[in-house]
Amino acid sequence: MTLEQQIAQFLASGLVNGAIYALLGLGLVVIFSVTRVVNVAQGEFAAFAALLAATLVGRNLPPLFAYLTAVAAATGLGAAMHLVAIRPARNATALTLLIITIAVHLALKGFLLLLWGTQPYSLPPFTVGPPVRIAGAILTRQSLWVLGAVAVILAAAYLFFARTVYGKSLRACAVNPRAARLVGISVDRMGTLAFAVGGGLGGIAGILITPQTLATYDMGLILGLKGFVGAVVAGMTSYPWTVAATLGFGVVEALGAGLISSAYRDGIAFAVLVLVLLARALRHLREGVLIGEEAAQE
Amino acid sequence: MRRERLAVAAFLAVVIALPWAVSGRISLSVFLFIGLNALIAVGLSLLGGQAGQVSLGQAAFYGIGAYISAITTLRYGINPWVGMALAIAGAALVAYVVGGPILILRGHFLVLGTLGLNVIVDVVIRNLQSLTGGPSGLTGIPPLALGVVALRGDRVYYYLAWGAALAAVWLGHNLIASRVGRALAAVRASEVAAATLGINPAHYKARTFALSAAFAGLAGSLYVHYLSFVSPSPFVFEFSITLLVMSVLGGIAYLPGAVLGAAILTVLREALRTLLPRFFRAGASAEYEIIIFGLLLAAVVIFAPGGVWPFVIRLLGLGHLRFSARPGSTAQPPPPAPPVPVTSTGDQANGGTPLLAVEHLTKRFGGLMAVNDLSFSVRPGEIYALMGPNGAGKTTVFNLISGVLRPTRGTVVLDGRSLTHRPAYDVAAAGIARTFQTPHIFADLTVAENVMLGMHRRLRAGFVAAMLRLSRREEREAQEETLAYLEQVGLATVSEMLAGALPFGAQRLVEMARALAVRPRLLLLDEPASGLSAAERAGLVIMIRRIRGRGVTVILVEHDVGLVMGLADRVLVLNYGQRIAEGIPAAVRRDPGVIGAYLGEPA
Repeated sequence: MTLEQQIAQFLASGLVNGAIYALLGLGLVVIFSVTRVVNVAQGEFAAFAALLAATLVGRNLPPLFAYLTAVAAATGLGAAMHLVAIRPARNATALTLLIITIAVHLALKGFLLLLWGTQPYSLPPFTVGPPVRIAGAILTRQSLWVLGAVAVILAAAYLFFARTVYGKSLRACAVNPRAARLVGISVDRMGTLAFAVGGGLGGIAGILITPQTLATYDMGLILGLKGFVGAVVAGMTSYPWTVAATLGFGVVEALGAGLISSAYRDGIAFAVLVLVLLARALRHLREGVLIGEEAAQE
Repeated sequence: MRRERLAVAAFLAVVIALPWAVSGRISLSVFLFIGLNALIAVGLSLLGGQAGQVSLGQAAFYGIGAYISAITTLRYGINPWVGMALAIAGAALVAYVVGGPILILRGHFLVLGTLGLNVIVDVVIRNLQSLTGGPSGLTGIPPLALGVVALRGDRVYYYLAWGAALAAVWLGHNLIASRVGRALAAVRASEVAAATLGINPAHYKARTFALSAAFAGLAGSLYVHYLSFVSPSPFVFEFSITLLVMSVLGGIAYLPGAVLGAAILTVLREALRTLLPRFFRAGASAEYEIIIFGLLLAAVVIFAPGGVWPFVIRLLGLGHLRFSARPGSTAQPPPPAPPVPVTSTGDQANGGTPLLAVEHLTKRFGGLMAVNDLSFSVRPGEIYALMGPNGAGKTTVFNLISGVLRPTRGTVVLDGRSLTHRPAYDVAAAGIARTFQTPHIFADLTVAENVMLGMHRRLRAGFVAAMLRLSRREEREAQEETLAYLEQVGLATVSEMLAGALPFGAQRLVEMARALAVRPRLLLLDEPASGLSAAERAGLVIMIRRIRGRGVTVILVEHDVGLVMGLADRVLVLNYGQRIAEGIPAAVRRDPGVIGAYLGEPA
């Protein structure tokens, strides 16, 4: 392969991975903006849905049924996490809530291990067929499914947040919880809804990625963190910027792993995370503001 | 206190005697590792309990320390003690360089940054074969030595590890009870309020993080000289979680809790390593271990957020052994002289160059112009009032002057020195103190500690001086001065009470005393009379006059028209972020624009 072809290949596979990270990043942002919780357990939703779908497909159930069931279960898991672990401690400090999500991450990982063991599971590609060549890059059919599915989900998410009462209520809670409460929105229930949406998005991500990479009980943390990188770039608030940033991050990761060394793949990913955090902080410094607008309205 | 001293002495005796007591099946190395883990966990407790931040990367700093010691002694033949110093400095430096900027961001980005750092360090150690030996590690690391005597064996390293861990508790304990500890408590409670007292929140959080990394680096260095072998496996992210569980289990707010948590978890880990393989497939037992720790963490956070330590001290009746920030109640007689010299009087209010000059100040929140091209100046020794209907932008003006908010446009100049775009802690250091509409007092600190925070920039003790208790004289003098400020506001009798336990009106006064302790040239009071009784208001007027009499210029935002008219030299009236009138109270009161703004548009 020529260098151009290689780069085209990295760009394409980076975009596909980035599309998966986008779903996780969006879930994190929905949860964070409504509840101010940084959910370390976000990737576990993906792992859970992927493993559950693999089991259902393994029992010869129709794949579509298996996928929908698994996504529904991940949605329920998200809601359950809020009801069981977050909501009872909602008056605790941000630090405590964060430690709770770390604990939930470990506990969920534990149950996945107990139920599925350490071996990897696979899902069949959504459609079979030879890879497709687009602009010098060779893409599997599953990659096209990923891109198409994510595009549809993003459009649906846009309609949900822009047009439906629930979507608007979530945004209201994110902007100003007190005002949202005053107009009769239950911030608690919106928290549960946010976690459910986050769980569902994570579940979809897990099912989309598994035909390409296999699913294991411990796949969640790294996936979730990669979604987090994009979410942080976008300031943990903007949905469209989160999508753009996660796509960009996927490309950077693929280029880095491809051109430097795949042994450093996760190292590169987290180097980007650390650099992004540093860059954000330095921007604050340059602007000479340590305390932002949000803080002033405490 | 005798009971507490006795308990500490008994504990030390057990620690010292233990190597001579254990024999047979129980290995001393387990206790050695409790010491090493405790050393790291104490750092994590300082970071979590005091700076309010969580690191999921302490295992990386442990690893950085271990590999710096291993590589410098093995590959470069450097003296192990020098290598140890490099290990401590290296871990602290990495923490400071990475954590320093991240900690400028509010919120909990450090967790994810450190988690990322842990993965990076792990990947680098495994792949940098030529330096680190890759996955198989390095062997033959020389032991520590005293002169020509090599230090080998479980006992020596047991004492070194426990000596370091207990020293860390002592140093941390001193730190908490110092100027630095107060600053951290303030930052934890409200970064905004802390910054308006001259405290740079990021500075204190980053240094605490570096300190916690230094403890981990020291532990790593001791680890490699003890084992004479190092490989990447102990420094993975999972061990960072285990360390966090230790400090949360013991009680993250209590340093001895970290030692207790380390002891419980290290023993539990050993037990699980023996038991788990009997129940599960051999390969997965390490995974099950982390799950049990996860459930333990969840249970502690949900059912006993304070950890195990509070139960232990209650059980043993050691109520005073809290290792927290309360100074002893060493009430000193108040000094007779007022701390601020009288430099001017109210007579100067009608002339002279301005102390504060605000020009074209503008603040836009999205589409809303909160403050719109506002210019005014305040003369030295003046009492200047900002008035206006709700939402007129008065508090925003205060936030812009005090550096809490950054103006969209315009300048703020104090006595010829530009403060535009300076962060709040620099503005405070330049001599502007403020109070808030709803008092931002530090509820968990005593009244005296709240006021001492106002003196923060005038006291000197940094991390090293605080940890080594070199600042006791300064502290004593500060406590004496504190009482003088409390006398001024009439709260000297409650100086040792927790500020959060005071009634609302008294909390306002604590905040006022704290602002006075900054020794400001300019004092911004945001609705000082709201929520006060009529009697308290009368006292407030006298107090503000007295403050001005000491040469402090005062700007106040106030809705109580009667109070403003009787007190202010000049009044500036705002509406929709713009000036609608300025002048002496009597003139402003008759201004048709002002009447219109308050009562509706004039006919």
